[in-house]
Amino acid sequence: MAEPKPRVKLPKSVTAGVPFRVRTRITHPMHTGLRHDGDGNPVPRRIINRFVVRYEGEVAISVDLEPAVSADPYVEFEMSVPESGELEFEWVEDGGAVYRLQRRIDVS
Amino acid sequence: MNQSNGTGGLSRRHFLATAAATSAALTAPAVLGQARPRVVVVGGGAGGATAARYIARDSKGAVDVTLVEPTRTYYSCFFSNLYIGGFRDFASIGHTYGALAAGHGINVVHDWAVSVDRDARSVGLAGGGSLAYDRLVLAPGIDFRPGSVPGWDLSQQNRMPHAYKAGSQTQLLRAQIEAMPQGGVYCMVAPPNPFRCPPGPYERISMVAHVLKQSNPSAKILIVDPKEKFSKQGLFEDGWQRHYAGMVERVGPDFGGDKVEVRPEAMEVVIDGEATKVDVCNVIPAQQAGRIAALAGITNEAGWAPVVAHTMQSREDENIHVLGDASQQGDMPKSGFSANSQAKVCAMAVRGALTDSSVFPARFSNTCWSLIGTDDGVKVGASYQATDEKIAKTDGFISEVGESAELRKATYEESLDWYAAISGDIFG
Repeated sequence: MAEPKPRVKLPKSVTAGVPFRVRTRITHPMHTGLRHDGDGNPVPRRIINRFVVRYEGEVAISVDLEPAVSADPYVEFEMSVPESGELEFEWVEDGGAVYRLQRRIDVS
Repeated sequence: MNQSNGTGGLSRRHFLATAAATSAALTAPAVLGQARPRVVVVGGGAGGATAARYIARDSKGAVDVTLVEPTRTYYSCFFSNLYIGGFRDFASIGHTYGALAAGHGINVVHDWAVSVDRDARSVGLAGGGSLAYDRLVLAPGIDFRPGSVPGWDLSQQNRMPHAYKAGSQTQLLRAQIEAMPQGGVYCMVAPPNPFRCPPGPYERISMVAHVLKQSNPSAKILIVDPKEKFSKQGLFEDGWQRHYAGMVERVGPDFGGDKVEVRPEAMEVVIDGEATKVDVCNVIPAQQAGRIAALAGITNEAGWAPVVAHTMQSREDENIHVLGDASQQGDMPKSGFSANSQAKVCAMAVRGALTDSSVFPARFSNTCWSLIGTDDGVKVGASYQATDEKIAKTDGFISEVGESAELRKATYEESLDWYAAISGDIFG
């Protein structure tokens, strides 16, 4: 399988204290562990089980994902920030692999 | 030029026809004695060739039909994806004009139409000649809107092919896909609405995935798409999951798919400011009517030629009919099937105007088949009628997710029969 590819969409600039929309998605098959492949062998569970966003190192949102979540999990939420800073996005896979993206958010 | 419209008096049609004959006599003695009304058709694709054939055949020689088409062999855009997928050989989508000339007496001129003089009713050719008409049928298909994908223009179409006018571009794209490194990235920049063959880009994704799954299974397919939704989306996404799981990623406008530029020299695609290196980049730009429609002065701000649904006549000039992709007609998708259907309505209207043959209420139909994988065919289609406002959809159908393999195979086989039938209907 191809390497999971995370994507994040942020506004170009935001206003201090005013909520803005954040869209995130990672390409991932989200194998539930309940399916069988074409030869009848069970496909082991492998999902993104945790998604965390930090603003300047502080957790802004943390989400536990379960096997029922469909492939390419998409998470959209709103947040606000007091000033410009770094956002870190982290997707944790079963087995411990972590996929990360960093984005700067600019307050105008 | 003797015509009777059965109502007595001097109809406008009669007057125009007489005036044309008179002016021809004054300015072009060589055509003296020519009594037959003249139709010039520009564009020898699904719309134009059908119109030429039906006007010539059904008028039984009463109308003089000239077809202007620059290419000697026409490669159909429909089914060209199946060539990319390895399901057709290239020769099987090529068609020539010999039967139209020999079987129907159509004067086939292999040249480019480069101007239309609507007052003199004549079409100028790149080769220098001109053709006088009583009715002109424009079926020029599409051209690309300059600047719609920053970084791309026609000078870059070898590095980043569109393959959206079938022919050498289609062969080039397939060669590039075959030459991709293992684990490489094929990227498609999909067009905004409206465009030729709404399911076409997504059928192409299916065919590219089919090829890569066999020869290059670690390769990735990236679709950069300015549209929120696309034709048969549920059917395609279900099929990609079943046949090509993990291979296809589509970036829609929610992740910057509407803000794309390309750098052909570096083979980079820049999505919302973030550059990605790709190995093949299939850029399908935004589209507009083929240029001759704009040169004739019958296109709108959006670049398409609005038409009257009952007859496919231009809303700017009743002596010009516009067919197929170039027309803005209402609810029909831009497809070869639609163009063929519109051409029959047009042919009937043109014969009615020039020879007083019977004209019946316009009816249209369309079906678009798409192949997702081996023997996995789907379709969408509808029937239409003419209203004063537009071609209006009356009822439609679409394949469903979860259909049996037998039904999907039958749908694919139906498409093969359709291709054979419509090829004969268009080219004789």
